[in-house]
Amino acid sequence: MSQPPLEPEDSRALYEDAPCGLLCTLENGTIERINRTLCGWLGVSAADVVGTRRLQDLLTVGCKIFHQTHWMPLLQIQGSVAEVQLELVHRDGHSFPVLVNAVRHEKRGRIEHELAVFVASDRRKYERELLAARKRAEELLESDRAAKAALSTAQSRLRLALESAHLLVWDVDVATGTRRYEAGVRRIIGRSSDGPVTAEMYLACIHPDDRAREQGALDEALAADGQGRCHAEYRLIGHDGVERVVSSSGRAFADETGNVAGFSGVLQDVTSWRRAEKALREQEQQASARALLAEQLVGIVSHDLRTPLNAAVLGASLLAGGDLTVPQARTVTRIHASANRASRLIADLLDFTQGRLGGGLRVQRREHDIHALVADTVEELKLAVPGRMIEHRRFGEGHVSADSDRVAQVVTNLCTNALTYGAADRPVTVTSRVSEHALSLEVHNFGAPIPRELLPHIFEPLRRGEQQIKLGSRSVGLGLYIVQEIAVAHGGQVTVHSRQEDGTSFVVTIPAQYEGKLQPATRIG
Amino acid sequence: MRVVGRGPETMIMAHGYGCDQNMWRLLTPSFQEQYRIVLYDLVGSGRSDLSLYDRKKYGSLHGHASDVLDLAREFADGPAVFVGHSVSAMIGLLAGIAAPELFSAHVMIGPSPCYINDGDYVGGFTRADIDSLLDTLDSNYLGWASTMAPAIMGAPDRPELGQELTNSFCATDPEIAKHFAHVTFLSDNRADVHKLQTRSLILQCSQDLIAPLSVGAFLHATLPDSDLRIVENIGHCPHLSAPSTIATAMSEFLRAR
Repeated sequence: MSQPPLEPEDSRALYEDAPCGLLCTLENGTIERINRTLCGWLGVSAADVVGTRRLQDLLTVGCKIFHQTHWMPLLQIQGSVAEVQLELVHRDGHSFPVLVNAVRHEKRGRIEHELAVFVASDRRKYERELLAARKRAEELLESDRAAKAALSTAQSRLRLALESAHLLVWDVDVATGTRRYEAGVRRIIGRSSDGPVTAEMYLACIHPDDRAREQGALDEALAADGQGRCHAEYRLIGHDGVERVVSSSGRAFADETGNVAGFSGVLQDVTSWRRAEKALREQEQQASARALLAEQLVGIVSHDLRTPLNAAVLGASLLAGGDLTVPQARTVTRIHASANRASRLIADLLDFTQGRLGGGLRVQRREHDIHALVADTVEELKLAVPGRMIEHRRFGEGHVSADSDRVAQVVTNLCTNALTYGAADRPVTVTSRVSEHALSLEVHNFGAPIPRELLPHIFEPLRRGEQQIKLGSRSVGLGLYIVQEIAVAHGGQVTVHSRQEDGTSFVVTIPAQYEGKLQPATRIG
Repeated sequence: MRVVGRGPETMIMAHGYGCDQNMWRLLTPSFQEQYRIVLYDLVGSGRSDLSLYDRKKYGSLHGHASDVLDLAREFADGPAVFVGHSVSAMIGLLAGIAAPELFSAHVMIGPSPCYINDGDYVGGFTRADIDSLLDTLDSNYLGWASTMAPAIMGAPDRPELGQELTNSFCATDPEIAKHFAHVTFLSDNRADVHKLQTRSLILQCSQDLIAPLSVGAFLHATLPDSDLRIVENIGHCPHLSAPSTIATAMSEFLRAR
């Protein structure tokens, strides 16, 4: 059906009162024609604006820029724009959103723009809400993405930690009681094929003797009143026939109501550690057994050597009293001296084994004039080492309760040490101090100090000074050890000070009153 | 990036805020004989690779200027004539200061070193105006979708415009457009203007909301070697609305050497 022709009257009414704003402008925006609908929205009359105002004059500033940077180029190049949203300004100053379609025409030799304008307040509101919703959604998406990224980072960190610690994960589905093992577990049950490891597969590998213990640990962790943790170490007999030791730890976690909601655990193959620990333990035991045997041997041999040596000393003494030629007398003297030296060595060794194996040296204390005792010992030493100076200084008076042989041994050992390591051209000084509370014996020499790194070990047996001492010396490195043992047996202690400028001093202090044995105490300075 | 023309010298044309290299379509025919014309879309605009839009790099016009330098080094045969519209005039200025040897002349169409009024300087806008623009961009966030869609009313008198072109023109990622609007309209390069030693032509529109007459006068007074031409034109895109006037002005300037 063809539509009836439009009467001029009707078309004019349709134009003026159309349900949209209609506007015609020149290319520069100058308004040529505007319908009543749009005039009503803008609060103006056609006469106010035609020929004097431009489209851009009706826009807010932001829209003016938009109009120039987007609208104009679009219209010029594209010939039309559709559904562009702009803000028009009412004569009273308030603005309202509109949607605009526009077409560019060339008419009567000039460019004209025809615009249709629709008020879009509701659409605008709707779009704003849409935009806000979209922004919210994007923010949520972003935070979701961030959370996922964080989770993924945490997971890869956990994986890295598990892998570098060689930990394998297992868990329990609490609802069904089913255990689940990660695929990597196949390594410790000796399965070479790929594929998942089922609970049946795993449990079948646990050593029959260990099964009850393993299950018991888990049951306890899952029990309602349990600790929630389990730890068990047990053996696995792998499909490859290899027996492995596995350490299994796990933890139950509860839901909000406190019920057990899940259980996760880790497995670790500790076979090689356990093996290494066992080997180390065995080595230690063997070593200490060997050491004990050696010390016992030293004790037995030393003890048994004493009798024949005594016979040799006695024999040499008897011979010395006879009628001898000069060479014979020299030989007998040498035999006597050598046998004496061997006796002293054996005495040291016996003291050592007594100290080490017999719970310390035994001493017999009696009242003695210590100064006289020390003086005698020093005199004897002087005879043995002619040409060396040994001075004796004494302070205080009185008798002291001590083992006289041991005190003489202390002085002898310390002096021998001082003569061996000290400066040959300076005197060795022995000082005995007696007070109401204690006896102290100090042996001092000049010369190079004891190296610092040696000081902490100087009282250990079989230690010698830095320089290799001359062959034939009676010392086998037990002298200072025995000095310490003697001091300790008297309830005292020995200290050492050694500095380049002061020389070296050993001081043995023995308390005057002593009941029972004290802990060994050694101070080093 | 596109190259048209076959002249011995190179001319680089950079579009302004809002559109892309299609802006130049009415102007390029006038220079095709004398120049090789390099046309491109600023990164973030038109059909450029949006994934290259690094907000840090393009957080100031210097990012775009370094792109111009890359372009000039790679595609120009000897010193090039740089034609920049609107914000690209300032991008060209920054490039020209950084590497004067790459450019023989600058043509600035509707340039502005600063859009916001500041003391005696009249840029044309207040900060509130720029905020209002950003708001308008926001409300056309959805509206743009249809602007980008095939033109429902068609363009009967421009049959040469293909569908493809219509779809890409002025279309870009709205978030990038907003960022670029921020960078453009809040830029202030007044302190750089005096450093450009290369000769330049300022094409100032008689009625341009974006770059008012006062801005052209400021530039002419500050640029060491510049010509100022006022083009009788309403709007910010004289190369679209008055292409022949622009072509004539440019030719006269480029010949006068």
